[in-house]
Amino acid sequence: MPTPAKLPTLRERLLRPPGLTVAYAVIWCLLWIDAHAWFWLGTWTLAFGFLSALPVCYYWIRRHRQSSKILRRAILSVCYLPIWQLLAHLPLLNHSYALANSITQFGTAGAFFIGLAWAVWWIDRETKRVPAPNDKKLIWDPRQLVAWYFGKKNNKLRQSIFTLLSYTFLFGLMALILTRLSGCSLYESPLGGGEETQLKQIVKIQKVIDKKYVINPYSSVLFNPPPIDDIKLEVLEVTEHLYEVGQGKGDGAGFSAGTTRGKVRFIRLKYDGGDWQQDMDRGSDLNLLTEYGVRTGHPVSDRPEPMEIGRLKSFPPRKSPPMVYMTGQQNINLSEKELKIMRSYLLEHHGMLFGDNGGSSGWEGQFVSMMQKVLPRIEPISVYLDHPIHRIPYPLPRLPIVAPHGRSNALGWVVDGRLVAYYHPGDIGDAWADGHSGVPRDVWESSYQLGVNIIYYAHAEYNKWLERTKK
Amino acid sequence: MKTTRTPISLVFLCLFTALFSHSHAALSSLQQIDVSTFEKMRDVERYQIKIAEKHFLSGNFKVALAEYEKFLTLYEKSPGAPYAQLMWSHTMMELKKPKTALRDGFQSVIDYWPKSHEATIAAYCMGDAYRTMGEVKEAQKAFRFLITEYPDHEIAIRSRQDLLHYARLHQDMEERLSLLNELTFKVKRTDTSKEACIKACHELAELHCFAQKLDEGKKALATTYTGPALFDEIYKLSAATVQHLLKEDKTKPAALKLGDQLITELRAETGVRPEIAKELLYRCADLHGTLGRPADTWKV
Repeated sequence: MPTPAKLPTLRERLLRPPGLTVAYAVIWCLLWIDAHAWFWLGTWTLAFGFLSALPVCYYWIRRHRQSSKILRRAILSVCYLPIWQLLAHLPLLNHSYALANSITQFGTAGAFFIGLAWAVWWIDRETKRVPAPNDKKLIWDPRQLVAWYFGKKNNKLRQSIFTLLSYTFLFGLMALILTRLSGCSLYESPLGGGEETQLKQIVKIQKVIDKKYVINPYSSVLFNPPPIDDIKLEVLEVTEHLYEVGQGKGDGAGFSAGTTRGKVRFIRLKYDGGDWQQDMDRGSDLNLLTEYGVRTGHPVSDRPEPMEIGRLKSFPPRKSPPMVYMTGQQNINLSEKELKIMRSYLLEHHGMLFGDNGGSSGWEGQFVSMMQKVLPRIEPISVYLDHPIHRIPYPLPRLPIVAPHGRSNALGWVVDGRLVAYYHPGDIGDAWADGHSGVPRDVWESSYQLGVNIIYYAHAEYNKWLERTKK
Repeated sequence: MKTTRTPISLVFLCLFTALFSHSHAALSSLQQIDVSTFEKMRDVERYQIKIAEKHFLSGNFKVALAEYEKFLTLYEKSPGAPYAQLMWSHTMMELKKPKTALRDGFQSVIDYWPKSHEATIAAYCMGDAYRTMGEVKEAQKAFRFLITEYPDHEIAIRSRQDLLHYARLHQDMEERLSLLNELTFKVKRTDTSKEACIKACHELAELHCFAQKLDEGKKALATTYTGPALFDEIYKLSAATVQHLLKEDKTKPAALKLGDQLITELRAETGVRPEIAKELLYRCADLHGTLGRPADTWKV
């Protein structure tokens, strides 16, 4: 009597290729969620994570190269997803956000058609396989051509249309869920403390004067005196920060209500109707973020974060980003829901919006009109030069303008003495980009200074609010 | 015989000179020196003030600032010192530094010369500076204080107008009505306040018309108009309001109510002015038509 085959244990099952692949798939999904919602891991880490899918795909394609056509196609279809995500992620290493966006869009279309092909294949196979019903009850099964909702004529055509519509609906629903996937995002400022004062350059000049002999030029005694004007000036420039940039009481540069793992991040808002990603491919946001880190000593994120306006609501009230950035030169089309989210972000979450006119006087009108809808009872003011945002940490003698697009002064929307929105008319993002768009050194330097001031102001105000409302 | 002809270039030169001489802005009423103060000043002080003013008017604000500072250093005890300090603050405002103007300028005028004419102006300018800075609550506080402290001064009128602007913006109907009532009924009408009061009475009457209180509206307009002019204003305003209210279904009952009140007024006016009774009745008929009552139109 043959002995019954011993069933594999759970450990043995897990160590087999399918088990390992499932475990890998779970890790891959976590990486994907991090890339789109959590932002814990760096761009390079994620790139390596996504790259690791290649050997797995290769293994399965190679293993089933002799298998049936359907199985091979199924494996290729499944492999499409990690390869598509990898291709969409790789341009981010070079800050090519527009390219990544295009790959994502084309990839979505590809995924739709692959899924549609499988849906059509499945329904066709099932229609042939399922036995015809014997009783004359109402048939609900869509695999049956005699289902009541297909009618009596053109049943096959109606089944195909039904399949297409059902599949499109499910695909759209899934895409909606995944693109709106935000979970519970958190923003934490770096822990520390500091003073809200201007950065001062302290120059100490020490004069070392050689000994001089006071002599009588008519004296008969001959001396060899040094020339009277030859005074050795030993100029010692000591430029040091006598304080740490930050707000509140704490050790090191940072914010008293921050956390040890907190970082200053730069969030750029995505919106419909315009070129929200302007200059991002040229490292504009990252350069400013890096400069901010170097100049203030605050830990900063290693990449800028493009984010949909809808995702702002996923941040809890006391862990919201203190500032978000918006630029472009075309239109700004926000839905009623997005306007509501923006209002809630600015007022309840104590956030700040920084708008930068990327290149047309029309964008100013778009921004102002958007703000009129967001805060209808607040009038814009011309942000004056002795406002803290123009004084701390860098005192700015004038507003840096890279390319004038209309006005020469910045606009601000003030709520309870706090700037909730700041509009810059002169395409400051161009000066932050690689190569500084050819503007003179003093302009791009003051553009960085203004950028640092704005980020600092938003974080300092946010920190004051956190401290004030601490339970 | 030789005829003298004016060369065309000379005409252009005159035009250019005339235009150029008028291109400089003049000082606003808040920036002008008090005549009595100017009388008391010495010639050197007047000269220094004029130099600073010249730079201020030509837009050289940094130079003007230095000149006003020079005046304050040289003639600290001059009767023109509070004015120089006030103008220093105005110059700071022009240099887009309202915070400095507020803290080191207007506040100093009040602190050092609290009883001067300039201190009153500075108190208003502080509210204005708060407004420039977007600090609405502080600005409102300053304007309310001015209304209480200097109820008959020109700045009290300005303050009321500024508060009215905020009341409109914040849709605060209670404050808006209160300010309009003050401007219409309480404020003494002088050359400076007249225009603001007339505007206010029109706005108040319009609000009453929208609330279908034609009698109240009439009272407000009666502060400015009398006799036939008063009736014409009421008719003009009410008819426009009726048209506006008829645009939406929601406000149609209000239009009908106001229309009825206006028809009553028109009928009463036929007794007062029988010479234009026919025209007034035509207006009645027209109004019935507008309100969608053709039968009544024919009846009239």
